[in-house]
Amino acid sequence: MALWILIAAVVLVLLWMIAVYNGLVGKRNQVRNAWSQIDVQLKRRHDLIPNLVSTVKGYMQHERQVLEQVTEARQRAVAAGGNVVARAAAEGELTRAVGSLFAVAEAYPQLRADRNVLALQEELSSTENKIAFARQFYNDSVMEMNTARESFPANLIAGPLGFQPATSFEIADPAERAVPQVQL
Amino acid sequence: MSIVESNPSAGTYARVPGPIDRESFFAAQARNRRTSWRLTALCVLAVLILGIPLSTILGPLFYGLAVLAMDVVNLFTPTPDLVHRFFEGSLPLPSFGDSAFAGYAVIVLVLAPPGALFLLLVWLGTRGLLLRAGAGGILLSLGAREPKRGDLEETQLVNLVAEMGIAAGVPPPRVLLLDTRAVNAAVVGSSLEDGAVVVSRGLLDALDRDETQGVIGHLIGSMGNGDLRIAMTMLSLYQTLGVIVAALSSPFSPSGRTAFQRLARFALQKRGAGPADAAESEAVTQLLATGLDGEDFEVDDLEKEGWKGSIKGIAALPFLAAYFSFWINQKVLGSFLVSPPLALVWRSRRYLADATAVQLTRNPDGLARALLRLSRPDAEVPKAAWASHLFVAWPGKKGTLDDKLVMFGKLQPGIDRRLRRLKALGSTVSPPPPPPPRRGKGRKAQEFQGMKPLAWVLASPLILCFAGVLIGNALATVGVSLAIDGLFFFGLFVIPLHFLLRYLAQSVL
Repeated sequence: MALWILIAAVVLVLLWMIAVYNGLVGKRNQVRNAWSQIDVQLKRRHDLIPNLVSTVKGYMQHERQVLEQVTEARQRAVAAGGNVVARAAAEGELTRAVGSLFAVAEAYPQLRADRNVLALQEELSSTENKIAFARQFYNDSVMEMNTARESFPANLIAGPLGFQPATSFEIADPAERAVPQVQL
Repeated sequence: MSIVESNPSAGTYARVPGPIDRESFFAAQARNRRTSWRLTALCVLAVLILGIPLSTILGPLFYGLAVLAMDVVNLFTPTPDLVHRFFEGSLPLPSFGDSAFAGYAVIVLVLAPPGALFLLLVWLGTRGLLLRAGAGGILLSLGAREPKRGDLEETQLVNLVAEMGIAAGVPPPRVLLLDTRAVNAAVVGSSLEDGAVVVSRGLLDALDRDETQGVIGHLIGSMGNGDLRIAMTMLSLYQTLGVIVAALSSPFSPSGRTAFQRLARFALQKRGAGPADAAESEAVTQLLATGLDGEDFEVDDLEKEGWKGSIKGIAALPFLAAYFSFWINQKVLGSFLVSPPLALVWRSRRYLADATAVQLTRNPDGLARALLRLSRPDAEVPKAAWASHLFVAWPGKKGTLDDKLVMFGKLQPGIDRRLRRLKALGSTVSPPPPPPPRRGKGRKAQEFQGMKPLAWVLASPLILCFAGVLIGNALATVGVSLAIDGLFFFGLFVIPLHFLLRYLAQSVL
């Protein structure tokens, strides 16, 4: 009799471990997927920028410096590739450069009337939002994963089962936290 | 026009918002999920309780048909004669003693199962039917269209939906537009995969980017939380009852017959995907759920047919009894027992969707301002009142499901309450202040608010009496239906046919 109870208890504990493992696997995959979503949006921004530069170049003959800044920042971001620290810095530079470009474009009324420019501006600003939302979703997934991993009693077996804590997306460069300066 | 005058939905005695405790949207979501789980359990319980008298009413009809079916089979192979054994007393019926209560329990236990099985099958069938139509097909039949590629605002809307999809970690749903000046948006479909977001052109014109994003966040959050499935289950519940009412009324009512025929045609024919099919499926859905209210109820005029009419009338009498009993029980118990928890469940899902919108946009002000704008009368999309529970907000009550089916309790929570909850999540948009109370009436109502627990204590004996009345009503109607069934259906129809068939079998074999 006692033997049956023991076996039942062991089976229950095994079932619980399986449930915890599957839950953590699902959350970890969500974290990975969210991270690659950020990459997808960043790439989309890389692809949109040459279009933008060529569209506004005709109007903004005197703003070559700003246009060059944007083009160079984009090249650096594409070249940074897999190196996370350099990539994050380059993408930050690109965000600032594009922001400056839009700020400068405010001074050109003909630009506002051009439908192509408006559409492109909407696409770019939407892409910036998507990057932000992708990071937000990544952080939310990280929070869920870490909470699941660290709650009792799952934390007893999460470590031995091979689940590492995930790191949130934070701004590595303190300069990025400063309000971006617009050079006119 | 000040906000107060233009907002007819401002509760007359809503409390003026004072300091409100902040909570995080994750906590709000967890709280709303727990509430909705508990209320769903309550709903399921209420539906099961509702099912007991309903199945008991349907039971005798099935037993009669089963006896006759067995007699027909008996013409070919011998089958046991249940009626004979019933009169002998040798049927294995359960017995709980000699009290009246035990007698009732036995009757229910014997008669209810076939009816319950039938109800379950009809429910699964209508759910399957609804799944094909999808919740909210009415919006497709109203002419929802794809967004135009050249239009900047509509492209912006598609981008907004894509952004919210990324924030929620789900593939973005289809976006459809309604060309109407009403300001509102809804979700349609049966699940996240085939769901669509329907936005009215008026909403794009009236709300700015943040507010529209709040609305879309609410809708995508609602889809992701599974509200579409809940809406379908709710609707299929009422439709099951509608199908049974149509079936029971077919023998004696032309309107019941046409409804049933229309349903049968719809169920059996192959359906296309055009707007005409969507309109037909929506019409049938609506008819089943609300149309068999007894509003255009007619009975066949049998007097002119003479003695043939009298026979038809007597044959239809058990169905008439069953129909009335079923209808009364469904209305009474449904309104008092099932609809309050149902309304509460749907309201808590709305609050959950609001909190999810704040999680997705991280901007409670956007949704709050949008809700404030949606509290005006022009938020009512014409001809779509029947699907009002699928919209973000709906200020009125006319023509909605609240009006026809859910008698007690509103499906859409009041805008004031939603704004208060959003304030707790960090919004800075205040609900409009209540209009100044009329002379003398305001203060009493304000004082009554504080006395609510006392009012519940005083009202509890009344509530118990009322529950007793409900149970008594159920017993009485079921009893009358069973008596009439026993007398007319069994006595005049089943038993003579049964003896005839058995005699035939004996003399033939």
